[in-house]
Amino acid sequence: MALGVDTHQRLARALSSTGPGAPAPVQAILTRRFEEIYAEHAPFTWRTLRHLGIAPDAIEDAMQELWVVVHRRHTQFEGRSDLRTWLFGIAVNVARNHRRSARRHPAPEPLPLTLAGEIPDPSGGEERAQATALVQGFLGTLDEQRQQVFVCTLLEGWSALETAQATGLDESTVQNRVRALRRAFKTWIERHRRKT
Amino acid sequence: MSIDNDPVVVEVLRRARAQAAPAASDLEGVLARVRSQIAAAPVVLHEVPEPDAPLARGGAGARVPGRGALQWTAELRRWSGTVLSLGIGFAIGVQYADHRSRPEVPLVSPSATLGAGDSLAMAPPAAPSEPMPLLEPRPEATSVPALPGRTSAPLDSAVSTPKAKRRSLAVPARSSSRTRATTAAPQEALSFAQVVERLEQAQRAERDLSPEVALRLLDELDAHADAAALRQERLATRVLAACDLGDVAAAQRAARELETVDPGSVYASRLGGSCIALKAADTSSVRSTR
Repeated sequence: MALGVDTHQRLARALSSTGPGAPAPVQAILTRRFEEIYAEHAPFTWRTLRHLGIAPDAIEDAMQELWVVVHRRHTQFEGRSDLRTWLFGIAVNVARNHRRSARRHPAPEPLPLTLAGEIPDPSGGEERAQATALVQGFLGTLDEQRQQVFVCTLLEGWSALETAQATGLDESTVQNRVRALRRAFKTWIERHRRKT
Repeated sequence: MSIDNDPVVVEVLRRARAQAAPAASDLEGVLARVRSQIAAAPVVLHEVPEPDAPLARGGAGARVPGRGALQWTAELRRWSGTVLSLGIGFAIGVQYADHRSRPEVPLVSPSATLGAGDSLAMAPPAAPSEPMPLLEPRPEATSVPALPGRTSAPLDSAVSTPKAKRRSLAVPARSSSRTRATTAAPQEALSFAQVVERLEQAQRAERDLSPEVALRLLDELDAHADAAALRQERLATRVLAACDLGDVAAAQRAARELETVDPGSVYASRLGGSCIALKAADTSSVRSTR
């Protein structure tokens, strides 16, 4: 059975009052809670990290970093915001750290967008790869806050309110930016199609 | 059709989402790695919460820092932030004070450089029909009274003669190294703080998807500011604005210039996703198919 946020908070408080050497049953319950959070939200954090520019070969490291932080801090999560919003904030920080370290140790040149087209893929993987390249290319032209708005609303389908909570913007700003981003993304797609 | 449900956009987004989805085995692998890392470094539950601070760096083998280390890091970060802020504030203050204290000398010193037959006058004001420049106009030089018996002509025409050009360089130097560093800059160049402000305006315009405005601001900046001030940032913004406008050739020109200025520029990765990278990818794929 999943633990509610209230139960989780009570447990966290109990742990805080007893210190790191907390009773083993409490630790076990918190571990179970962590694994429930993981099962429910890991795919979302994976997608978010990929959308925020983490390369496929670095995604597992980034996920590990993210979930170690979640494990370390989930006892402090007070339920004042949505858990997904909280996880998104951690993902943004992890992605930022990875980008920084990637700048210090640059990866080899990325493969050209059209390379995938040379090998026909019956499962539609080629189209998905092209779509990903288009989205990644577009995200690369945006500043960090717009990237976050794009990922939350257009890729993850969040409401303007949820996106506002995750990005720290107000709701109307999010709505305006989403409209502008949609227009710009459509132009981006058309321009790329004309070229190819 | 509404932009909200454009089928092309919706389909591209759907495919990108599908491509980013993880396999179950990937998630299990990550969970196993997290478990082993947690087992290796037990959780500390009483550390100082830092909701807004960037997370500790590190990949697979990253160590979970203890409470003492975190407090140390937080203290160090706080102090280094304060020192850095003071330093930046001081530098901007010095720049500003320097700009303010610059004596408003005439472009041509009458006592030192005037010769017979030369004429001096202020440039005529801009015609009212001219468009308003986006930047504030440069401060006018102090007016020089026309000498008796001399004809009144615009300063531009006076400076355009070779002789007068030589004289215009005869303005006494203010200080040694500073003057040498800014010889290439136009006279009355913008201060560094102003350059930062104008560049931010241009970047804002680019982000707000108004590339024409951004390019116009950058042009004005190029005309008024020291060529070396925030050169890379200006060029990177120009590349992005030109891409937004669909002017790939101009974007590539700016990117080449950026590469010349600093081949290992930190902006190279930011520009990797722009139209210049796409163009490069297109040409390389064309070459590979030949």
